[in-house]
Amino acid sequence: MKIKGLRVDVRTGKAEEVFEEISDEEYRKRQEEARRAEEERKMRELIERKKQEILKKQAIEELLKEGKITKEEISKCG
Amino acid sequence: MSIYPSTIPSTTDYPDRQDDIDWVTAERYNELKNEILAICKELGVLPKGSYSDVRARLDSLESGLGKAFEKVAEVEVSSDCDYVDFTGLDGNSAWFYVLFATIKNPTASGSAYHLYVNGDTTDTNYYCQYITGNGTNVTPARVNEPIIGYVPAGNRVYDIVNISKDPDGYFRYYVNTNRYSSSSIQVQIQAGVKTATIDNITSLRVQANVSNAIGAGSKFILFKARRG
Repeated sequence: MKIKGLRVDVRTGKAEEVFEEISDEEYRKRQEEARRAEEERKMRELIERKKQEILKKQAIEELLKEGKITKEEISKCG
Repeated sequence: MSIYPSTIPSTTDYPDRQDDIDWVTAERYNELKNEILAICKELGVLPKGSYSDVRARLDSLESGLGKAFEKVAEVEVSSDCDYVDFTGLDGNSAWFYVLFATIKNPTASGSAYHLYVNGDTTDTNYYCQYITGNGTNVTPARVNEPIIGYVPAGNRVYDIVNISKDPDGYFRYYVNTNRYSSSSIQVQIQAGVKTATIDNITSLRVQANVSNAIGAGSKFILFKARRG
């Protein structure tokens, strides 16, 4: 499997297209790694979003309980 | 065809002439005109810019940003590829590098972009800590790979990457990232480090972890912080 790149030599300023040979196994490994990283990223974002939702909900409940805000004020804020 | 700018014309090219002795032909006039036009073309339009003269402008460049940073490489990707290598670097002389990168991911998959040093493309030899700002959500994470950006399918990223080797020999980078588009705009800061020390920074590689995810039109400019 060949992967395509650009090589820029800063001494000469020349940029050339280059190809790097990697084994099929290495290529599969990289693809698998990319897929795993992508899944991890999605998972982290989902967890973070849910965390923020829960925190916001809890904060509103606490403020309502303490009488610092009203339901009307919350609905105005969206 | 002018002699300048490839070489400076000499008195052999244009010998001195004397009144009432030498004939000055139209051909000689045209040669001199071509030399003047070549000088104009080399300097461009209004080369003094907003300065009093060209000398003042050059002095200003030398004492300002031009002295602080020197451009060492510039590349625009003409066809989709996997990586861009910068070779022939000397981090011990430059101390710091700054890489400007604007990358398009033309593929149908999300791609991460990694920054490797001195040909070491083993992800687990690096760590990256990052914080993402997405609307009111802030997501921190630490990963065992040298990430400088992540772009979903068909999207874009703009990075400013500061790169150095610290006094104990650890390769470090720090990235300010502007990514995604329109109302989905996100900000990221990313700090990366290599687990083992290095002697010098001799090459840098920006590599996508998805095939052909550095799209045509992506641009890179690398500066070094010290001249010489």
